[in-house]
Amino acid sequence: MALVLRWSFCLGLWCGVGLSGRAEGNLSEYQVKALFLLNFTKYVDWPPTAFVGSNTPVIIGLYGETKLGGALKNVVAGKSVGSRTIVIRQFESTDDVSQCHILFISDSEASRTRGILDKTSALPILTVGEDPVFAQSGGIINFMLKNGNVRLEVNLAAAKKAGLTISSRLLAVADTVKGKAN
Amino acid sequence: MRFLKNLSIRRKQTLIIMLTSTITLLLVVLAFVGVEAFNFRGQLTEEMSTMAQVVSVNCTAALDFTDAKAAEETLGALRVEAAIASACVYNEQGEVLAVYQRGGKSKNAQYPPVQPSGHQFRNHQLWIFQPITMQGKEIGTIYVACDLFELNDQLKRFALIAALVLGLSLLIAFFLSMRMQRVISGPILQLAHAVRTVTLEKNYSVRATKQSNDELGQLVDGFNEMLVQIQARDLALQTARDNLEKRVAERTQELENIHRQLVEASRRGGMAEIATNVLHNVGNVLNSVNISTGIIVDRVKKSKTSGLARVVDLLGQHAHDLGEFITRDSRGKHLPAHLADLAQCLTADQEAMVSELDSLRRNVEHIKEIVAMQQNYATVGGVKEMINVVDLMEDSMRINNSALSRHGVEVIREFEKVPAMNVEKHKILQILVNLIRNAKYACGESGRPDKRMTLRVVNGDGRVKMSVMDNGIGIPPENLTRIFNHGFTTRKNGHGFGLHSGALAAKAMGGSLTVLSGGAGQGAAFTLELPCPTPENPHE
Repeated sequence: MALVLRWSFCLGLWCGVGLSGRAEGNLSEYQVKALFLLNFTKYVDWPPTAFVGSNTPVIIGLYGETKLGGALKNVVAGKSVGSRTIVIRQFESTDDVSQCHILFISDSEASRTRGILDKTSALPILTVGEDPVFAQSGGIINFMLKNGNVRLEVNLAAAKKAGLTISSRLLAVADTVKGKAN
Repeated sequence: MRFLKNLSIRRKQTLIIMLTSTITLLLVVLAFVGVEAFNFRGQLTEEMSTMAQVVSVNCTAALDFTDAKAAEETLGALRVEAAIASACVYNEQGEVLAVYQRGGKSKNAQYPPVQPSGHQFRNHQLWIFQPITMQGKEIGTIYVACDLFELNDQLKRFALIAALVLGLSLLIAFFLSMRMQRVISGPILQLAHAVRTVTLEKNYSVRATKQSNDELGQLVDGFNEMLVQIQARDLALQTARDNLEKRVAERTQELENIHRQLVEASRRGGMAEIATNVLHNVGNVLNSVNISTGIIVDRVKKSKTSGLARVVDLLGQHAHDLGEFITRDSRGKHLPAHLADLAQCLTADQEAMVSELDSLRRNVEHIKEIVAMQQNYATVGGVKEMINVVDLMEDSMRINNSALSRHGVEVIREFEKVPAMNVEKHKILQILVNLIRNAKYACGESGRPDKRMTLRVVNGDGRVKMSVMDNGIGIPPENLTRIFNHGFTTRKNGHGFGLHSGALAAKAMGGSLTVLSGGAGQGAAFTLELPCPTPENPHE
């Protein structure tokens, strides 16, 4: 028994080290961001009006040209939020963005960010960006790169305006930013 | 276990009670300690699990967003529990995301690889692995290592209290047992005391007191019953012994009476013997007296007195011619010669008669002596007087003298000088007379010409030995042993009483009567031995 335990212990140690090394090396910035986008569904509560029914899928929208799409597809594959499936949509204009629940705005759209946010700020849409001033500009969550790690910024006023409730646990791992809520 | 056997019941009981109490209490204490330790572990596990759960809830976001710093801050909340030595958070892949170390981080801190949900006690620590779930999905694991020093402290405290309680309990148990063991040891000790009393003092009247109705009570009852039986048996024995003593006393009395009668008979017999002797001797002397008287009578009858009367008558007839008659007559001529003859005859007669009369006188004197001696010895017995046994020997000889001379027995005397002794004269004389008479008889029976008897008195060693030895017919060895028996005799008219009573009398005087004989024809030697006062103790 002791021998078995010891062997399993060694095996576990080896596996742990292996996993650790591979994860560090292999997870790209966009893979992390894709994972985080998915995780937001756990920490953010949408108002009931945001969904037509209990089985209405969660729509994650991508705005602008980004590498995130591929990574997100991989991450979301087979996942669900409660009874809701997850749907990814690529948006090129702001016409249809009201349908989605999470809207990722690529930094390629930095110049158009304000216009997009103006359209979505009153809707129950969690806007996520990767522009250093995204949160200050009225975006709700912004991905920041600090020492190569992806960190979060949250604009609570903007979230409030959008009618979203952000879990305190998410806030615990994020920096809050005072910015306008549009 | 051997030493236990030599202890007194009291000690044994105390020891057994104390041993039992100690073992019981120890078991109880051990059980309590075990249960306490078990409970403490369960409680600690529960507390730590709860803590880990609380922390794990707060770690979800940090895990989801791989925020090590936030995770570490969350883990820092464990600081409130001093027992927690270290903790860490693993991500879904089992990699350590954040760590916590009591008293600050340490470089060489090591964390075990992630394990499924559960707890284990390891290296004096409690390890808890608590999965971190988010919306039903396991997103990582939290590990908490808790030191058990609190448990050890608590166990030490408990052990101390247990030791105190144990000591106190044993002390109370000791005093209780000291008092309560008397219920058992008391009756046993009392019984042992009673047994010792019976054994040492042979006192069977003691009784053990019954103090209880248990087996000890039965034992006491049995013991008392045994004593009752012993006493009854003793009483029966005593009665039997008393009866026996009484019967012995009666028998002794009877025997004494018979003995007294025998002694009386013996004395009478002895006296009769002496009387016979005396009569015999007197008869012998009377014979001589008779002969002497006959001779004298003959002499007187044949006396020439008638011749003298005739001479006187003749002279009377011839008174007128006396001269002529003498000168002329034929008869007258012979007269002077006849007268001379007559004178001679008368003188001879006178001489002879004087001689016979003298003999007669001596014989009468002898008779007088014998009678006087008989009177002397036939006095009532039991009177002691100072006397020299040599004189007694001579007297005995004299009593038998005539018979001895008649049988032609030579008598040899070998007398040593002995002191005067305080003895019963007639008893010794009786014995000696008897012995001499027997010796004379033995000599007479032998028919040998040189009949000889030796009388010997020897003084020595505080005792006087009077021996009568003869060279007569002797005693065959088979008779030596029964010669002193009552009724044993070899003589036709003997009554077998003389030696028997002689031996008894010698014994009564503190002496002995013994016999030696070489066998038939070898003669015999009888020795009367009597104690003799020595100069050191003259009063004996």
